[in-house]
Amino acid sequence: MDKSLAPSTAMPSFRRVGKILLPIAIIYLVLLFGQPAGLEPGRLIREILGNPTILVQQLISGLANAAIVTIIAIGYTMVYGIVEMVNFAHSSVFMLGTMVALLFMVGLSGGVRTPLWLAILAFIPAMLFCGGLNAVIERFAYRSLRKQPKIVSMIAALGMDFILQNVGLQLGSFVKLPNAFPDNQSIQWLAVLGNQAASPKAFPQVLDSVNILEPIFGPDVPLRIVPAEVMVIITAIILVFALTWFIGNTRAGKAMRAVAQNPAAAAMMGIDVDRIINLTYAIGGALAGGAAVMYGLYKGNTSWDVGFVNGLYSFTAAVVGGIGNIKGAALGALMIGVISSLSNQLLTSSDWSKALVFVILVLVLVFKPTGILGSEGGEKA
Amino acid sequence: MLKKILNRGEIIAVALTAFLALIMGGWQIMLVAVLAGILIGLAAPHTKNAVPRAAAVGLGIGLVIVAITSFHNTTLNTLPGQEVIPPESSTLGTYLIALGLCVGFATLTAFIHNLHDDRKRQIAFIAMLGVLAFAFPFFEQCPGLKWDNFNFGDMSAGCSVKSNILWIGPVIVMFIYGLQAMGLNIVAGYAGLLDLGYVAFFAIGAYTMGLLNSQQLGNQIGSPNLFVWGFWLVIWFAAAAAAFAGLLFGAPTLRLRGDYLAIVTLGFGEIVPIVVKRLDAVKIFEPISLFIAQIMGKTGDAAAQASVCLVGCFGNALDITSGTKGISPINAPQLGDVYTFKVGEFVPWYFVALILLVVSAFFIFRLRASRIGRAWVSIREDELAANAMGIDLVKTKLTAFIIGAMFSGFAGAFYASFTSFISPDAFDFSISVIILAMVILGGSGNITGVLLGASIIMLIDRVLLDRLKVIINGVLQGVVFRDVASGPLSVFVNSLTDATAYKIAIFGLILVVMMKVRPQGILPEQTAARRRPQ
Amino acid sequence: MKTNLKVMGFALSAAFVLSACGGAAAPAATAVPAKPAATAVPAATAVPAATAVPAAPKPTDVPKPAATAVPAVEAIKFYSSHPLQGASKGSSDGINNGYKLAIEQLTKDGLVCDGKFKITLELLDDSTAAKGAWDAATEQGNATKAAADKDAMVYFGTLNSGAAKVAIPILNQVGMPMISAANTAVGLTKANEPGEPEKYYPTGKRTYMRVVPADDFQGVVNANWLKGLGVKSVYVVDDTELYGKGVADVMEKQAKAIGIEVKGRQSVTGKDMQGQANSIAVKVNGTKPEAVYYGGITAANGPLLLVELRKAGFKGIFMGPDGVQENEFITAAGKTADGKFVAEGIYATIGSVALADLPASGKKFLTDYSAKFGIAADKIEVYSKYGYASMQVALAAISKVCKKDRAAILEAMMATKDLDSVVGKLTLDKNGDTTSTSMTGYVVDAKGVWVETPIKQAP
Repeated sequence: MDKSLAPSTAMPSFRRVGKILLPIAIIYLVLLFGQPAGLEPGRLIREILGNPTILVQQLISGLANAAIVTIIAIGYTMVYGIVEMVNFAHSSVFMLGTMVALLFMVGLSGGVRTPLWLAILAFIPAMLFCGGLNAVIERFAYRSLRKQPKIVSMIAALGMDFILQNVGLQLGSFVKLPNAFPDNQSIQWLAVLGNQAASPKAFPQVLDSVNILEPIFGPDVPLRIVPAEVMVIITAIILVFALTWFIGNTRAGKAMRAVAQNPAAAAMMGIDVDRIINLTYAIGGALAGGAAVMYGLYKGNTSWDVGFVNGLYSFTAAVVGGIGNIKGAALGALMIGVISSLSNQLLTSSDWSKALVFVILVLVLVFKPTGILGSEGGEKA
Repeated sequence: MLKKILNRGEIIAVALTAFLALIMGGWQIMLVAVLAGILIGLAAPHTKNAVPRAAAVGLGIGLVIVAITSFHNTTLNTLPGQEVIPPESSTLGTYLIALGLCVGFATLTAFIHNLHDDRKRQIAFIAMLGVLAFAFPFFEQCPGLKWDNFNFGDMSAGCSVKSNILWIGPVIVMFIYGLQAMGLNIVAGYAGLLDLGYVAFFAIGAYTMGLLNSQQLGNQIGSPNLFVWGFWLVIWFAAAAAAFAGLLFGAPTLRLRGDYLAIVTLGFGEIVPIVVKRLDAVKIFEPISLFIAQIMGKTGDAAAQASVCLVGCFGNALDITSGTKGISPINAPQLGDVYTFKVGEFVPWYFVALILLVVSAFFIFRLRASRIGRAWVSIREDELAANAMGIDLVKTKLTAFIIGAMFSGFAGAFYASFTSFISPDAFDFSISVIILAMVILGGSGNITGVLLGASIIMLIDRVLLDRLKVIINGVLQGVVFRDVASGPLSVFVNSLTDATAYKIAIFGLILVVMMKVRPQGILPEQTAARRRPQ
Repeated sequence: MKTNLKVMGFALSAAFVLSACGGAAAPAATAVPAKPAATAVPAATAVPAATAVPAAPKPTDVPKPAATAVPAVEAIKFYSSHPLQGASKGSSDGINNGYKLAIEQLTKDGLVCDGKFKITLELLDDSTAAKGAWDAATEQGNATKAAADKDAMVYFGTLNSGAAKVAIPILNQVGMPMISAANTAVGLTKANEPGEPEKYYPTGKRTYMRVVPADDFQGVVNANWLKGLGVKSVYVVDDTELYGKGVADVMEKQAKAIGIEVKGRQSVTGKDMQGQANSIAVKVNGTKPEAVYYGGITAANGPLLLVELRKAGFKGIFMGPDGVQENEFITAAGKTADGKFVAEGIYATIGSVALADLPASGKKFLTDYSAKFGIAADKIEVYSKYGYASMQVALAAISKVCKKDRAAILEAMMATKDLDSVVGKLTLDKNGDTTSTSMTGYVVDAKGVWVETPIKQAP
């Protein structure tokens, strides 16, 4: 009792000083304990001054990463918006999408150079497959659990995630086929699966890695943008706009919004809630398929565990932006992409970039508990 | 037909133990028989003739187990890739003992289960489980007993042959996870807070033990034994450190609701191992002097000389956690000068873990019944109403978080000393979700259920999947794909049908199926409405 | 209540009478009828031994004379412990295949010492399904199981150096030899961190060997080679794992010592590489290094770094340790749009003589392995040959002492000298390390194949 009274009555000026001192103390402590992560402002300032364009360059790579993360994050956020469940299996659906895209591209081009049109065509099977897969999973694994506490379907989703990851891993076993029949030329392209089930698998690079700024600004231009980067960013924008149009202007889209708002009322208005939820999963999955092709074309690689890190960042992006909100997902992805690129540039390890992303996540949520664009109504009781 | 004779619980018991007998075969017939007996006893209906009925059903199921075991020993075990089962496990004597154990435990359990006095029943159950738990480490390796070899001094000498399938190691790990599941149950089950980063506290507990009970820190300053404080002391520090971390993480974030809290805790679960991993070369300078030195253009050693050094100044940078290399060896507990625990000698560890688990279960049980325990549940059921009744939401949630973290700290400290090696890889996201799965699967909010969930998941993960894989491989390669096993396809088929590669998927499938079959958990909490509005 | 008690008493006593009968019956039963069925396997294996060695009596003859003529076959058990699930499965399978091939080729159905001992190998898994990676408690269980098994003579493993830190002390207490085909952490056998390596050997006697060179040596060679290639500045990237970080640390130190400017150091986990390789590449390329050194393995997504570096316009040298010298690395890096291998021109070293250079054994290993396991000879896992070699060490030691005695086998294994193994003449020093210091340099040619190239040292 005495303790709590003492400062307020005795020393009002002490508080004012404290208000100024506290931030300084916090900054000082951050600088003190941030040093193992490479947080040394003096060095960083000099490095940036020495090569300022590199920040812009990092911004570009952050943007390209964000483009992919956005599309995956929308899948999380849509499902969350409508059934309030974190679909842990979403990341593995994305991973299987990369596999389907890879097999499609390489299989149809028979192992020789993959033309650009085939790569663009790969969006169709990947999106169909992922959408269908997600819908099937919803129908058989989650639907009957919808009345249960959310966490039950989350554990089921986790189980699905294990299963799908294992399928992705075992796909690699098919590489044994061309070894078993070395004379059969028609299956030799399966060698793209690598030597082992778990090995990283290369996507065909369909775009040349040239600097598109060079023809315009001459060979000495300090920035470098490759066609793949332009491709992912444009694809992401197209997908986001298509989705926004779909949700805003079609019957199904309106039904989805209605179900998200109030499933009981939507059911009374004659909306088939089960079908709409299934459709939401399908669209979320299809977006993951789209992101999978973008990922493959841009990063040029995939493997069975590619879902984990992308899923983690996407899920985080969805939450930071305000889960259930599509614009929020895009904004969150942008933040995460740019922050992690910049912190990769400034700090000594990608580990610290990840930690920084989560620290920022915590800070955002502490000051804005519903995410940046989330509203109080975003989460239903 | 079967339904007319047996009730639902008994059918499940029969199916389960028959399956166990099929995959364990002669390796663990005794354990399976005891388990079958207990299950039958528990499933017996509350009627007058429950005990004789249980004895009869026990005899029946005992015969089934014996039949299946002998089928395993004589038929399944001839498939490729199987180990030779010790002959003692398929003798008539062994079968008779198993039969006796099954009938005996069925009768005993049914009798206890039908005691009318609640208190007596509880005590009798606890006594039975206590005796079983005590006897377990001495008999778990026995696929078959030989009485002529039996002596009380060294009970395991009664084993004519040691089983190759060790249960005790996995069981100790099961206790560690059970402890954590109980701790998470306070947070997620009682208070209803979704925590996806519970592993953070496990890591903090483990690293406290690792740092204060090994030569890791002492070696840095040249006197190796300065920070070897002993298991019994440090385990308290570990719990305190974890609890403090719970306070630190919880205080700013517990205002968040549901899934936002989930992702924030997930963040903590990711950050803690990262920090631990990167603190292997710490050199800290006074920031202002460093800033000035660096802005003047000095780099590397020049900057270091021009600024005031605080940590890691003498020669090498300070290696606090040893990073990815991990801390090893971590000292084992000592009982005075009498006995030092040894890594790999499981029995003493087993008892320490058992005591830790039982004492924690008791405390948590009492906590649940106390005022704060009721406050947790009221918050979970209806936050608004609880608040209106004068419960301080943040404070109550915070206590749940801190106490939950504390038990994880105990578990972490024990784990570190038990394995004698810790590295940041051991504390990844998968641990958090597995513990959560244990809580949900067993029955969120119910200690018995949570412990059951922990034992089921750990046994599946560490023991059963291993056995199952051997059998499946044998059947696939010895029966189903026998014809292609030598052709050009053999390598492909072998690799595609290798059940080892599917363990993760089988595990996932079990999670999905269990959630679908019993979404409320195996033993759900017996309180009022656990139902939630959608 | 009373009736209940009576019934229970009856049932219980019946049960215990049953058990007692069982107990009484047990020895009798084991003596007469049950034996043949259960022991059929060892008995059956005894027969070919009997026929193989002397001009034996027919197997149908009475077993007595055979038993006196040829001593009974004793079982010797080998255990191996590697992660068989998740990302490391490929490497583990490769090593296990190496073991199996060696047993198949170097023994007659597992029989050694003229049929005195029958060797069986049990493959343990130190990973768990829930984690998909190695787990300390599981590795501890495996080591304990082997330690408790009276027939177990040698422990093969582990893949991860961390797992070795768990297993070595346990096996050391029972004096069981352990030999690894993949651990490269320096401190397991040599002084590195304070307290190493003594802290892993509670009895003070060395029980651990490895046929693969430790990290300390390779990093030095890599740095010297870069200098020999005329490189003046290098950027060092590691995969944060024990192996990759260890090699990179050594390499960085040596580079500084011989006057190569280290432009920077970045640690990237395999998972982060999947999401962030492009920005890492921008950072690395931004410092304009002449070379990039990647301390890591293919499975940690090293190829992604290479791809992104080339995309970012980096044209210099890319070098790595033996974790990179895999065909995997080349296939995973893929081809550029105009059909060239991205990995063309990258350098790597391996810590042994090149397989193809070994006159007989190496080439034979390649063809046999490829035939048995259906893997093209140029795609065989790097560590499989070390698996084969470590089995060679163990088998040679057992054939030499012909005793079922851990101490004797350990001594013979530690004394391995000039063994003609698939990785060249193999000698183990008193620490259990291979004395082989031969390093082979490789560069990827335009056809996407690793070709041997001399390691140029700086003048």
